[in-house]
Amino acid sequence: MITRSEVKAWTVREPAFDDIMCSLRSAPRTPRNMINETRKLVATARKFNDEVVHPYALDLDRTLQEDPEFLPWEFVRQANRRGFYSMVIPKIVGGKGYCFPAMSHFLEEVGTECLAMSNLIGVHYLGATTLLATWNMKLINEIIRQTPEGEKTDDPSLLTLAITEPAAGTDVEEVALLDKGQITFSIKRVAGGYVLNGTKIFISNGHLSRWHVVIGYEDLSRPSESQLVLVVKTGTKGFSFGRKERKMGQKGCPASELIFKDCFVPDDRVVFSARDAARLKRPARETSRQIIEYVVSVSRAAVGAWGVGAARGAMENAMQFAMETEVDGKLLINHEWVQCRLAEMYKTAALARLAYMENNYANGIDGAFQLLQLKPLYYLMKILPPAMIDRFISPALGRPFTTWLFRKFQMDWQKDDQIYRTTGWGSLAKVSGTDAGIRNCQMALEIMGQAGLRHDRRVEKILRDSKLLQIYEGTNQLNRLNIFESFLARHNPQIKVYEHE
Amino acid sequence: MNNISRAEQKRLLNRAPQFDDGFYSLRSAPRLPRTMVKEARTVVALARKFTETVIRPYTLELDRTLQQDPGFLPWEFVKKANEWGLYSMWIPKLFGGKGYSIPTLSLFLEETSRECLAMSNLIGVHYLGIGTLFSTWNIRLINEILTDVVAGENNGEPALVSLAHTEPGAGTDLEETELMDKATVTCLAEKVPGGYKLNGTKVFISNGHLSKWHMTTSFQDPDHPSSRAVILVVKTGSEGFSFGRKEHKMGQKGCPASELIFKDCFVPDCYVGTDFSQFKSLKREMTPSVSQLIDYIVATSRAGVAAWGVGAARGALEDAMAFARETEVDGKLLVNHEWVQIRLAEMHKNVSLARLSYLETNYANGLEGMFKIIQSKPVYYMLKMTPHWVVDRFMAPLLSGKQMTRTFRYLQMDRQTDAQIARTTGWASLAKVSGTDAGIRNCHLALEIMGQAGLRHDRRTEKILRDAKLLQIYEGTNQLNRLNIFKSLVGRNIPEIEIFAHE
Repeated sequence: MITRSEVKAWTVREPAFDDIMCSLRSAPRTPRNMINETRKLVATARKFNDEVVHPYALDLDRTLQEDPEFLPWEFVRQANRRGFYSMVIPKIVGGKGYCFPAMSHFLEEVGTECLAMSNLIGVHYLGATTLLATWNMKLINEIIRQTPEGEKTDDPSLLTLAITEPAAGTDVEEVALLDKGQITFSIKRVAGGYVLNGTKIFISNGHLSRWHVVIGYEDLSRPSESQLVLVVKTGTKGFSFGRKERKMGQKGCPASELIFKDCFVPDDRVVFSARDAARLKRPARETSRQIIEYVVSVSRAAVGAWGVGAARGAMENAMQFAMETEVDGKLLINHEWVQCRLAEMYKTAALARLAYMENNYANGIDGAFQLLQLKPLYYLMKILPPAMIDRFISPALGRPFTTWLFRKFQMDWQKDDQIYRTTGWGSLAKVSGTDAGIRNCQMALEIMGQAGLRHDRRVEKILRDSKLLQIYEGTNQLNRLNIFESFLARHNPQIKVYEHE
Repeated sequence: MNNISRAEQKRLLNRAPQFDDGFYSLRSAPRLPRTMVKEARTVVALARKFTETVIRPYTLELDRTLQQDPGFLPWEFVKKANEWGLYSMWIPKLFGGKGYSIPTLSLFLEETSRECLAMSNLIGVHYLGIGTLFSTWNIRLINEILTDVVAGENNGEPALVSLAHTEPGAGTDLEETELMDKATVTCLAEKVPGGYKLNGTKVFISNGHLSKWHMTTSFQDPDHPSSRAVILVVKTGSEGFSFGRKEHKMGQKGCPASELIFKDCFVPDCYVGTDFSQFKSLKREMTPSVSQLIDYIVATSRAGVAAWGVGAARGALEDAMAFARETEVDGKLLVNHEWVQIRLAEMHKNVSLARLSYLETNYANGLEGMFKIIQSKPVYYMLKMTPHWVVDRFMAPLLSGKQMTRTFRYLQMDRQTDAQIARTTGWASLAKVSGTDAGIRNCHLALEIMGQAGLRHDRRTEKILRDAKLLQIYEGTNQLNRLNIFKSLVGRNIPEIEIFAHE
């Protein structure tokens, strides 16, 4: 009927089969146990919601309105005690080793009750993912290992990602825009390390974190070719916190200013530099891009999940309202127009969830989770007791060979198509999820009328919180351009993206 | 965090939204036969080849032909599809077909409808008929009809199956048993010795004029249709059965919507798909059984309609993209204007999301619905590996015994839980609404990019818009489907909720 070579020729045509069938392609490779893990994390999140998040959500929001300087340390300690900061950290670096995709579902669940608190947990993994994206196994091991230790000693060791600058937000999320952005953060090479000068702003969890993964550029005339990733510890000389932003929503999660004044970072805290880039197959600029795409392919799934959490929160609150409110002698929920509207809201949330799940499948077969989810490795890590891992496997992480091997596998061997596919799905999930959040809030408020405007009905807070989602992690407009480039334009040389006269 | 007991976990996950109401792609992953990935590749490739060589050159011509001659029947296309083996492609090997896994049919429908929804319907509607046949789980009859379909492929005489359900006074109402009993049904079956006598009219029956077998729903009691529903198989040429007019419609003109007229048409007992006497032995009462049967049909057919919506959405996107790549505005190609790029990205997103929803429906059907047995790994691989002649010689003869029907009805009907019915039909509605709305939305977005050029017939998009509008209406209007989402997924476990309740 059709020959093998024909099958290949027709399926690489756009839309390429591999671009559009991630869930199906990954099905036979998905370890069965991932279902149990997902169930477990969803249940854990629901329990945590009942006990902590739901009772505290409005209180935290109001506290911040009264005292913008308040820091939610108590909440962070609670999450720390429950082990949430090492939950999906691989066992090999001391974590509990739940699979990464399950984290998205955890964040969605917590996000239904409070996006700020879900951020207080999730943003830590944005920092961790950035470390992971450099595949510097020595430093990953050193830094991330402190998190589970901090859980044991009741001393939270959180990570942040410090990338946004006062004049460059979206621009630093896209390497094509990097060289046109207004970058002022300076990094100078000195003997034995680097000296940092400048400010990073809108750094979520900044004030609460111990480690800050800083992305900067050695040569400001060519940032894209001189990208650097370094870690700075809170308390380092020359590093201090500035103000906290006053913002529309997610008030409980601080957006901090990080100030660097002649801050010296020694070589052993450099995670990735031009020297590392020089050892890789791709040109430096392409490598910078690959690292950023690794980060956003993972982080945008999480933001997508938050959007779904918001969409669900809005729907569930509207439903609650409709079940206790009578209009024209019958419950609002038994009016057909309300039923159709709730169905539409359910649909919006369900579709957006599928989008971030697909994003996670893509990361599993083509991106950051490839090795972790490889069945033999996955089950080996499950079976081996932590003591064995710590004793025999972890020491190998300090060897240059290990980093070389991981970079070979995850960076050199990752194809351009795989980069496009994972980042494209990341953007698609991000736009879908966050737009769903806003959309459902609007619909919920329309159902609820004046009651919806009241703080204690919760939906007005969800709307304020979810607006931020459309802006951070690359504005949705930037993400649309990334979708366009990744899926529609990449094989068409006549098309120019991000080109302005 | 590890202190959640098993019972507590279960309780937490059973809260709305229930874990098992979603996560189908993940839950079905370990059970999915690996070969299905390969099959999907083959089917997509085949669909693209067929689309390029047969459909694309004929799309506009077929549409124009119908505008000039509304009586035209696209026999030539049907014969061609028959030659390509498309009418037995998704029939299980057990019944003589090629045995491609049924979820790949959705992929095929998306690919072909990307060029022409009418022609994709000329193929897909046949499987709506077959889906209905399957929903009766009358294995003997399934075997007889499907064997005839395969024979028709071998001797070059297409033997298509249609579903005759919609009546002049009841369309959407018949898709839902709760509405069925309030509807005005007129297609009546009267029990006579040796069979049923059928009287009445069915309208909007896709592929009616082109089909050999008609899965006809009818009712013994017009006051309580759902408690005495009868599914009959009527063959073209039967005495008392004739075709009426063909509808003149907005789109999908190439696919006939026929009127089927029954006047004292006698249908012998051996062609009764199911009726009260056959359903008596089931666990559920008659009305819930009819509801289950309808949900089996729509849980699969709506995935197909959703795939058509995605095909339309893709067609609009790809046509707009082609236009933007050849049109200059203000000294640069339209495709290099940022607003156009963002809009095309939005269209791509609409396509992708809607596709995920029908894929999820198919995963749900594999895990809890119609494809459960056929996709279970042992059955799946046994049928793959057993050569055709062995199947025909040793397995097929078993299908005519009553035991087979009893076993299948037990496994697929009695053993299917109410929650599984609700989930599969709920997801199908979700997919149907998502896919078809995406189709219309993208057509509008495309036409806005294309300006006056988009209104021209040869730009194709105006035809896609006309074709796509039908998708929002048939197989249950999108509003009915939203109510079904509400009933099946949103408010399923809440006692105070009333659905379809009108004073």
